Amino acid sequence: MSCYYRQYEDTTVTIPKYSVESSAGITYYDIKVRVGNVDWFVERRYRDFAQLHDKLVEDISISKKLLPPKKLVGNKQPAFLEQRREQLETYLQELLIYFRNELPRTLAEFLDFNKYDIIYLLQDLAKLFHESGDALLSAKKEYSFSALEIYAISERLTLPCPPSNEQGGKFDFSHVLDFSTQLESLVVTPVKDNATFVQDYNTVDVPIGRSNIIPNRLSFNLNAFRNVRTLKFSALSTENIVDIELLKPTLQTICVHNTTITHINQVLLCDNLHKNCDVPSLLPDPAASNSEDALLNTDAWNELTELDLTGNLLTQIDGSVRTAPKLRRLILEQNRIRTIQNLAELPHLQLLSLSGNLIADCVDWHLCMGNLVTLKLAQNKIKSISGLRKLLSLVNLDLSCNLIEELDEVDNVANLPLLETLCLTGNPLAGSVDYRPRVLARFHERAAEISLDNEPGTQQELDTALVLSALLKSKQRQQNK
Amino acid sequence: MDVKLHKMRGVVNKLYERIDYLIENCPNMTAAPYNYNYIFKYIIIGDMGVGKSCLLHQFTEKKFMANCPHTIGVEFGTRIIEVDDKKIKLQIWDTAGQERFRAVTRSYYRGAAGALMVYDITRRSTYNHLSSWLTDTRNLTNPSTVIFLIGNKSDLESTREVTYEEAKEFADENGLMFLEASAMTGQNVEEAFLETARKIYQNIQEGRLDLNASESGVQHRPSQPSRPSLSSEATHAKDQCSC
Repeated sequence: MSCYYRQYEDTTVTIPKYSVESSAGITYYDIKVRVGNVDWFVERRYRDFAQLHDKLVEDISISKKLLPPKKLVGNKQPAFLEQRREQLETYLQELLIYFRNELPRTLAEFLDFNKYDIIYLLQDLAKLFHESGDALLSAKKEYSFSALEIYAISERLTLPCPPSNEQGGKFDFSHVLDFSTQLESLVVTPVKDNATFVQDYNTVDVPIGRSNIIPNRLSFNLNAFRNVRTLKFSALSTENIVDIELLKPTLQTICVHNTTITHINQVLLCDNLHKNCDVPSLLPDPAASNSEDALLNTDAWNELTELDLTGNLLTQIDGSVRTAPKLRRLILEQNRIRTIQNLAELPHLQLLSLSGNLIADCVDWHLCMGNLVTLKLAQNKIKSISGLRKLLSLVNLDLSCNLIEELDEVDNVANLPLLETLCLTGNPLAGSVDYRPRVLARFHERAAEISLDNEPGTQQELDTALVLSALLKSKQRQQNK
Repeated sequence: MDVKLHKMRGVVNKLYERIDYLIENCPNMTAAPYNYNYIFKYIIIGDMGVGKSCLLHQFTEKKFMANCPHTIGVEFGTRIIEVDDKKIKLQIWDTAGQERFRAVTRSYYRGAAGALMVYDITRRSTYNHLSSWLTDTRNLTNPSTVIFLIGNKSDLESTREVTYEEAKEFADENGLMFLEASAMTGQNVEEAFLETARKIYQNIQEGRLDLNASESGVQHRPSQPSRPSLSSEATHAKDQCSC
């Protein structure tokens, strides 16, 4: 992202070429703006130049003769257009020398500085929040920023550039900060209002507009958002955050979707350089001295209760989840996880969703999680659920679209005392004759309390289940003898 | 001449308020949806580590922030307070104390209505630097800016290096308001921010501050239309309204 305020001496404007649109016969001049390492292109026709010039003459009274004059006849000839390209280039260069370190808004907008430059982009944002910030906040305490905007805010805080009071102060940076400090839910995407970015995370290296700015390479801090409770990143890695320390004590929900992150530590330890070191246990340890406790707590997410990392490339649940000891909901849908680890130190965990992963076995899961209420394992590769037989607190279990074949597998969860909903649809077993009554029969006298595949058993099914259950019991008794 | 001007301004400022009041209570006119009447801009300055960010945090969140990181550039906080039944939004710029950010800090003085100058009562060096902070403030703000001196960390009585009397004398000599406060216990923090606001408000009432000057650090806004009230005063105002 460009910073004209700092680099106006290293700024050039050129018009490398023009192009004639054949159908309408309009000539466009392709303007290249370069500020330091950042450059971008803007397409403008002569009419736009004339409009800009009129405004500048009116507002700032620059010389009227500066712009090359209009030509009515023969204005399509290549030689003429080439000459005009040169003249317009000179015109822009003269304007830039004339205005030096502060561009007037009209010129900044003409050259798209308000799309790519820190100061001018924030002026746009300030104007928006000045006019409708309060309305936005009262309607919904959530707002979506582009990576570029977040970067601009974070950089702007270190610029020795005073808030401007120009034009009644509507471009004043304090409006932006005023808004951001009140925001409760912050959404960050690579580009604003662009649905394709959210869909496809291979586009993360695509530059913004016609510039060479790549959203995924902008690093920023979130110090301006000190009251945020919910943080949502979409198609943008949280590793772009260089400092999140201020938000750690208060943040309650983190959602990261559609990125290429492979480890949870890229989220929970996003500003930590030593991600791969083993994270020490954060559970209260009576043996530990007080000073050590305080040290650990500064790294902890003490209020974080929900972590939603749906749609990434996670391969495992790494030790960094221990930094969020109060986690209640952990949603890891649509990833590439094969096994669960490190959940033993999350005593508050109530919901775990691992739908759409690559889990094939679940061995003794009751040793890892004690208080789980809802477990979602849809669309995995599970054949046997014997490892779930002692998850005694479980109320809701979703096993749809797995590879369970044997009816006997149901016995593993049939004796869970609190179970109320069970989903088995999409498994090979669900295709068998009398599937529903036969599954319900396994619950014996609790059959009526169970909702199977989102509906409770009908009277007919329950009657059949009762008969089957009696048969099963007598069979068992015989075996015991 | 100056006195007359001040009086005139005071009258004009009061008229503004009257107009607001009428707009608020007039059913046919729609006012902009602001829930405050004024914005005051504050700046907090002082040496590194005196507790500027902690004071701000204590004031906006009513909590003490242990392990507060060094401020990089500037930070920002807001809170709506009430002075004389007027809702005032404080926009507070919290600056970095480190020397390397001095240019950034300096750029925020302009247009501040209140400046909170902070030193640490347990470190004499931070007190000794006050005169240079004061020079900066006087040079870069306007004459009507209210300067409030805060001796922070008053909870650390045992390691005190600057006495209350000494600082009070310095404040009186330079015409500053003064309190000792503690960002940790919260003692006197509210008072310091509120006293400053009261003083600024008083300046507005007395016309010492020109609301229309862009650098005054005060913005005036008509407040949100209040719910229809049945008080006699409100109905009286409605009767007067010609629309």
